[in-house]
Amino acid sequence: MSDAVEHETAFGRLAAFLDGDLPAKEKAAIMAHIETCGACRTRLSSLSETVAGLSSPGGMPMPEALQVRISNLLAAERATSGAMARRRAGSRLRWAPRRRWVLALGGLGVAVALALGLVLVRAPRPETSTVGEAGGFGVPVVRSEGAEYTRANIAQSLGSLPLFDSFAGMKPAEARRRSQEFSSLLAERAGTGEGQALSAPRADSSSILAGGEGTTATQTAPLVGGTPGAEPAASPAASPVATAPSTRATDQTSKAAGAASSPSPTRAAPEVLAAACLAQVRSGVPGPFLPVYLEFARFEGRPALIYAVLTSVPASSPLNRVQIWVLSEDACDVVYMAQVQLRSST
Amino acid sequence: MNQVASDETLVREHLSGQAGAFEELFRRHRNRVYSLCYHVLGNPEDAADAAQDAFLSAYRSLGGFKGKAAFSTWLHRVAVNAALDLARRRSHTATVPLDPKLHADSTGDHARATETALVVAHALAGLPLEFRAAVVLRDVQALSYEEAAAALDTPVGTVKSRVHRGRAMLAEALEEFRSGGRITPSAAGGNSPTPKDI
Repeated sequence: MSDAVEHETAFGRLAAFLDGDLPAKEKAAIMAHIETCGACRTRLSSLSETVAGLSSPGGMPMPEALQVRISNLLAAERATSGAMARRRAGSRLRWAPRRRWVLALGGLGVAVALALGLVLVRAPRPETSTVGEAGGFGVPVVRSEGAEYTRANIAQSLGSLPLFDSFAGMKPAEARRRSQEFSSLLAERAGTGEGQALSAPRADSSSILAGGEGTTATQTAPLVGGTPGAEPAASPAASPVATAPSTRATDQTSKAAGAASSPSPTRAAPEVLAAACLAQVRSGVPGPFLPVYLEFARFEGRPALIYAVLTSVPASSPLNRVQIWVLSEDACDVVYMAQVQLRSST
Repeated sequence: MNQVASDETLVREHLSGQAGAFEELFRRHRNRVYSLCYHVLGNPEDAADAAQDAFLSAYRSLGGFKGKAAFSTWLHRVAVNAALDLARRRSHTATVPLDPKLHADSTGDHARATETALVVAHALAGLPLEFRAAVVLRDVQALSYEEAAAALDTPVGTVKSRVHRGRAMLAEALEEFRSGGRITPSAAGGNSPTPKDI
């Protein structure tokens, strides 16, 4: 049997030859052929260049906007399943703040978040950082630097975040189940008293923390014409339906004036505010209630907490609305609410 | 806290409910997953969607990761499946833009290497999907044949064959480009057998 190989055979085996894993005998025969064959030498060189050209050590950098998008989606995934799964598993969700979250929000910001390995990335919107999740509620928290929202732009700015897309197909039963989990979690916390101790620095914290259970329900009722989440019959599918809380506007003005004359010596910890405000929002949402996003930003010139909540109108339908709730950062008063059709929900 | 933890340790931490563990895995692997998706799909929009699908899918199914293979191999499997699913769902073909000025500007070793990378990337987008995926896993992502076979759930021999034939098509496109002296959108095919002929 001859060791020589035909050109066609050798030519077809060059890619394998390049890998170096041919049997020694075949390898030697191909090498011998290459020495006499210009076409094979050219092809071997091209193959070698090709493999080098494909090499991408370390990979391609993922675009920053995509990093933000995926981070938010992962946080949302954790928000609606992780916290609940842990709770179902019997581990006690503590009212106590997550230390890392408090630190990250407590002014150390970038350095602390980085040191703790938290996701910290730039967003296409004003500078934002995903800094953790709200207490044990698992709601992703974003802190904006310089984001100034107004009644005119907030629905457009926040109503169509890619974050919400992954919820669009959730079945009504699943949405109801998760919603009940959130509600019972809120009720459980309101009853434990743990929150009260934590919020001691605030003189009026008890009323805030009780917000989900009575008084605030009547306060927030007028927010959207007496029926929060009412079907916006005349609005096109994608247009925001925003309603200013007229009765609260007056309260807000007087409270702000009061706050200016006697500022609170100590602000409530962010996670206390986050939870208290969440209870406030809950009382204003009659249907399924899935908080998926919390942003600390400014609204109409004032510091504000902005919650995005997914819900259904009517309550028995699949998730079809994003509600953007704006609450004052000093007292969790509802300042504004805008409602937007959840994209691809139809 | 997680700087020195292995991927597998982070997986265990995540499964035991430790916050931040999956985020660290995401941080470590996001570029490689994006790169895989980009090379399989050939455009940034699809690559973004596939990478997103991959990480969400990985997050949801991490409980099924048994630790038999390395986490990175498992993640490659999740990611390549996300990319292939998307490629099959979307009818438009992959496109990698090729700069028309490229040939005129290519002088010197560095320029030649850059030119090669661009021509090969352009040609890669024209390979049949299965060949493309195999070549990307082996030559872009630098997986071993065994790892690539595990990621594709395909026998090693089949993966080797696809990689070898894929490389040959790319090399042919490169030779076509070098000898033609011009860049055309069909540089991957030219007069030689196109991937469709395979």
